[in-house]
Amino acid sequence: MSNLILKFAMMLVVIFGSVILGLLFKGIDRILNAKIQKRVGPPIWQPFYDLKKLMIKESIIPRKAVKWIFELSPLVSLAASILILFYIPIAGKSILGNSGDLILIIYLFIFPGLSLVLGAFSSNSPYTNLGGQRLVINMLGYEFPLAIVCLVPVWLIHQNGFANIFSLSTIYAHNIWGLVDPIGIIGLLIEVMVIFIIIAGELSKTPFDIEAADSEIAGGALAEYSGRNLAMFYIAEAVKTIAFGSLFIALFFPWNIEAFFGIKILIYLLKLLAVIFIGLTIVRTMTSRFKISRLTRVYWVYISLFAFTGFLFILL
Amino acid sequence: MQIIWQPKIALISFFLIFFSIFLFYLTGEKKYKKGTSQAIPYFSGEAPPKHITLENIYWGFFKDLEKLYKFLTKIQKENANDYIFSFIFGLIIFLLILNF
Repeated sequence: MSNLILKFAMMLVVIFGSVILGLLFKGIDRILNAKIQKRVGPPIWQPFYDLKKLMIKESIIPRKAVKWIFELSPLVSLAASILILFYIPIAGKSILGNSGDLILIIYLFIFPGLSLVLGAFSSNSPYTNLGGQRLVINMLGYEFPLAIVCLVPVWLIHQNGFANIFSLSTIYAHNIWGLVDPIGIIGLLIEVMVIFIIIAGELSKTPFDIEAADSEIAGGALAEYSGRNLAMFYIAEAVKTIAFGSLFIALFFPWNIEAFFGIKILIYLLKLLAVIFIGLTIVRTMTSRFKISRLTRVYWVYISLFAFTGFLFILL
Repeated sequence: MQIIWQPKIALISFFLIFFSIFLFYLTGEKKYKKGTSQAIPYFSGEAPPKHITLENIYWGFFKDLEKLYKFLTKIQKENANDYIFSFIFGLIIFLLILNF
């Protein structure tokens, strides 16, 4: 019984903690982005102000929109984003780590995007329809290289004779960098580079922001969303950033040390900050003027080949 | 420890999260001016065009898959036998890969 209460308390901590942390990291990302571009940038609490403002604004439902899907999809998107964090080890501990593995997590990552697509299709607007369809194309694109990258730690764990190869707890408990030779380290570095590229795709940031494309299709999938519905998508994106960053850390940089849990959390936050800074801030700042017109080719040919090359280095 | 997928736990957790965020969602403003121009889908002040076809949606996607599409339409001539043949052929290749 006490175990159940403890799990319930941990769930509540993760629900509220992930939202606060997500928004905080969003603020840090915006500041760092501004600093790189030699701008002052907004205050660190700007995402919280944005959220507060969105919650007091009118939530407009477009004429002839499918109301129940339009209103439900932002909530499902946010709930699915938080649910992913229940399965990923954070500072060595995961709430539902024993009831789901890496394959489940990869599937769960589809849910927030899929909810956004449903919301876009239900909006009765040409812009949102275009955005929704582009988002599906984006998702189809990055899933393949993402699957290759996720297979690398699994394969290494399998080769070294460990049990439960798809369990994130097993992957988290082993330092995969110590399981490969120097050529394999080059392969792992390639996989890390691939996942840094995929982060931008997963979060629909530049250069993979074809679904939003503000100057082209007016925000795409989110064009008709406002008020509290938009606020939910806003938080969902922030939480998804944390979830994807945490998955990346669990797969490639667990480096679990024996220490007080508070120190472990601090190390986890520093790693998360580094991942977000490199994978999100730097990539989107560097490519802010870069446009990809043939996204599928980029994902399925160039990035997938890059990921396969990394895998080959590890196999050698 | 053996990992077993537990959909019931996942669903219960999902509804717990959903309920928590729904409470927060309810604190937001739900009103808007129904029946006014505010609720008309945005299209830069113009009527939505009707000439957009499927091919206009995302040029890059069609361009990238053009060769595959041409190949598929070449081998399938709206005959049910072709589809069954493709399915069995695909299945054989898949099973061969699995055996390797």
